[in-house]
Amino acid sequence: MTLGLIGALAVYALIGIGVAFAARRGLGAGATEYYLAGRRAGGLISALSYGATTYSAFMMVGLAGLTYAGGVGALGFELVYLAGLGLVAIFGPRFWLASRAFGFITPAEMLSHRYASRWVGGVMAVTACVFLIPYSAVQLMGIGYLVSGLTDMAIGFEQGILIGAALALIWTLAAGMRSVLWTDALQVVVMLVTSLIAAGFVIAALGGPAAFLESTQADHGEWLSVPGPGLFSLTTFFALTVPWFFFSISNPQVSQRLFTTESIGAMRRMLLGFLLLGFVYTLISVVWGFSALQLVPDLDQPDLATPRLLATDAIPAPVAIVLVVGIVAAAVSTVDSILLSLSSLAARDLYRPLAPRGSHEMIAGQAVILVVTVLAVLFARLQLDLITVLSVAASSGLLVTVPSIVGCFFWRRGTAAGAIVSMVVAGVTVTVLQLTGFDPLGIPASIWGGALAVALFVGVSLATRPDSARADAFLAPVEQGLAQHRIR
Amino acid sequence: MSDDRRRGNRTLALLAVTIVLAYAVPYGLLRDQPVWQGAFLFWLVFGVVAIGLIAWLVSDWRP
Repeated sequence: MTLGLIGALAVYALIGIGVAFAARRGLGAGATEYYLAGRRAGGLISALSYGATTYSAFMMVGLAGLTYAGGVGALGFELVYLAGLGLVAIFGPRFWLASRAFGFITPAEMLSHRYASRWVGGVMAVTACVFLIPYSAVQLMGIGYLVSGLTDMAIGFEQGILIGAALALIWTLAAGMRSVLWTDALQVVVMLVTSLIAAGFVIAALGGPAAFLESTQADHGEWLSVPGPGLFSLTTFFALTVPWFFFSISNPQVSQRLFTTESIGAMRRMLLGFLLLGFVYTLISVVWGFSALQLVPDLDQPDLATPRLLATDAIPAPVAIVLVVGIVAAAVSTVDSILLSLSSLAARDLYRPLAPRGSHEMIAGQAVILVVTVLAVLFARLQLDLITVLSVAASSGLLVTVPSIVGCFFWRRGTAAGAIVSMVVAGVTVTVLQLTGFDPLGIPASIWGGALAVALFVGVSLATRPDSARADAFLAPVEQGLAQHRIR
Repeated sequence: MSDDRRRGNRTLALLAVTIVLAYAVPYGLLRDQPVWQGAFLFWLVFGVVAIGLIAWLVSDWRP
């Protein structure tokens, strides 16, 4: 197993590096080329990359663990997220048209322009860093635990982290968004194919699909219901689904993709392709979790369901090896997109306003990629509880940016003060609530954070003077484009 | 209001209703039903319907 896994990881890394450097050919100069692949990404590759970026090691480890612990609620949670992609149908063309009209590279830059204040984008960039660096660190920790556990420490935890970080770093630095798109496309295929094969083997080990359905219902019927064994109370279901419903516009590593497609048609192909891919991958992950319930029952830690399942006889060693490569690919493809997105946010929304000499912007951005990688590795090595909490809080934390993003297009009365206060106060509040585990009135932190952000954005905006001329100038080309493309 | 716009609004409203049902039905009508034909099947159908509605919503775009 150990030698096989090392060999498979080496092959995966070499192919990925080859693809990343092949992507350098045709790479032009400038921030738009580097961060947005020159706004020329096709629909298919964008769909594949969107899938690889969205779906991390969480799916075959965390979601499988959630299914193991709480049952079918995990399926509902992930499919409500998928339905949230309806937001891309609303906001996608608006992001795209605004970025074409004004040359935006980051979503934060768009908010700065719309609200006529660089502070808005700066606050959004800092918020993204606070939550997404720990999120990346947890991805690296996932690689470390999985690889060290399955090789009996032949590859250590820290080595696992460094391998993941090095691959993400190389694939980001090689050609920016171009290398991320190309390697993501490769990785999502690896993720899907390997998980499908592995799920096929466990179903076969359980006697085939009919026997699997029958035995699950007979032995673990409670897991097929909600609230089920207890994890998925309606409150928890709300707490998990609300932040994730808005993921497609709140998380810059995916919302920035709405700037990269070559046309509105390519964006449509990206959206539909991703929905299909997401639906299949969700089903596989949930079925995998249900299989673990039968093959490795009574685990104290549900997150161990996948590693333990891989160690059973149900999965031949070569299949286990390719699945681990698939999970590593899922983690790395998420981390590299976050690295690139945070780099662009730091360079465009934090560095540029402070040091307006544009010639150093690209170097600053690449330096940020290095710094973020080092921070993620350090956080991962420390294995602090705080990191895990911040990572879990990532989607709740970024939810506080949603009112400002919605207001950008749908509320001319929204102001910079409203956007800044809502992001800062609600962001700090949700972090404190998550860290202390305090749920006032029994309402979860994510719901408090979202509600507070809406209330503050509306309240402070109404109490301050809007820049109506800027709102009109921002929305004019967007509305014109929407009419031209017959988009509602 | 043009026909396109009306149709778009109708599809969005349907998507919103579908999403509300994704909470209400499993936790209401299908609560504590320990069978595949319960919440599992409902959410599966919900996923397909939601994807279908999103596809319908973007089908009018004129690139």
